[in-house]
Amino acid sequence: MAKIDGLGWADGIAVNCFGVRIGIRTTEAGFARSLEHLLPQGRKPTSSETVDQLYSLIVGGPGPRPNVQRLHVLYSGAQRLAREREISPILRILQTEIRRVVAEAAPRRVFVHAGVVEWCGRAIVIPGRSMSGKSTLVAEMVRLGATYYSDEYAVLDGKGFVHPFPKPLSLRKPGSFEAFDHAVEEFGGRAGAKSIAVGLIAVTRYVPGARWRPRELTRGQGLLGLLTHSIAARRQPSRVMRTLRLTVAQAAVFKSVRGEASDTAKALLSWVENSNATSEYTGR
Amino acid sequence: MGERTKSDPERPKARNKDLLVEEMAGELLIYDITTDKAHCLNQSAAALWKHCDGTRSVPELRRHLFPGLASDTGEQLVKACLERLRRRRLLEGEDQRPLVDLSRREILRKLVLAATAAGIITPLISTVIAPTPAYAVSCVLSGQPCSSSAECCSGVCINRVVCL
Repeated sequence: MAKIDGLGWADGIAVNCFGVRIGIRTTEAGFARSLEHLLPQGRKPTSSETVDQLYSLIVGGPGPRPNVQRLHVLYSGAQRLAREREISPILRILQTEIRRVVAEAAPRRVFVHAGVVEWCGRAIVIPGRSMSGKSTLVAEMVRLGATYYSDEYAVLDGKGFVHPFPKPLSLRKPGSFEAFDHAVEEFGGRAGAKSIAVGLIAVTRYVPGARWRPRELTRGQGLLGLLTHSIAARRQPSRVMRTLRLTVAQAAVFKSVRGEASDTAKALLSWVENSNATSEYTGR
Repeated sequence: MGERTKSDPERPKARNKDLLVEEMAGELLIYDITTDKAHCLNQSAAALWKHCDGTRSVPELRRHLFPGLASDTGEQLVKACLERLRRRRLLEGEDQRPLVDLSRREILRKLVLAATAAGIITPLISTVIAPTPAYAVSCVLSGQPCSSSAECCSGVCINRVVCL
């Protein structure tokens, strides 16, 4: 670390994201400030002299001689994370790393890898890993009028309520692994701003040609469904379990594979609408 | 790892060391700190686990929890559930031979039918493994394109082409 500290750092920023202090320093003047858009929304500047996690970016570019290219190098603390010719993969890795660290270490929030929308005042949470289709399902529900909360994290507080984490929607073209960011306004939607209770948890994944045939899970099984995607589950199991228990206590939980997003999106929104109308949550 | 305590296999005892337990609407959620596995015990399984205090025999557990079942059937049901608990290390005294052969599906099916006919909820246990932080976030899955090992869920990008 001392070796890295000894390099010439020209710029730096420090922010507080969900209670985690993140610092970024770069070797190029003004560059660190241009990276603010990579940081989670809801961040606040911090004047703290120490941070919980420090990222150091050595900015590459043309070298001292022709045909010599200095690589961009990214460190997390003393650990080298990446070394690339192009800056875009470095920035992608930096953004993912910061999200992971914040999700794992946030002292007053539990982050679950999930898509979230709001409908009729309640949250619909879709836990799932990468490539499970949750972003596509979230986008479809937003097109149908739901309010966008996130396509990456359900951020839960100590009462089990979910907060917005409105990063741009990352969608893949069919047959492609590469994802492209889309503002929620592109779908005619808007982002949520306040914390809300969870009304429905849909444990699902995309299977071509499948039909949405949900079976209701118990709340305990629903808790396990969320725990499987909880970033801090191993680091803070007690707090995670307590939070998830509060979250599922208010929600119904369904499980099924699904086919095309449009049918499933309509079914989920319709269920929440009908359950609100009858004030019924069967929950077992 | 927790201490391996000796206990009487005929009088099972619920393990309590290194376990986090939350109760929810009759179900029990148990997180095992030593294995990072989480278990959901339904009402029947939860009642059985709670009654395993090291003093009750299998027949006593049957009489207490499943009085409506014939003794043979009820004891087999208790043993089947105890075997599931034992395999998940939720009972003390791990170094014991299995209580019942859970691969005999036909027998287990008959137990479930008998329990249902008697109005008893069959003991059920669901188990998941808690994810590591890297596994739980958005990362590139095995076999997919990558340009850096930091992008991969596995942590290895082979030849900067595909994730291990």
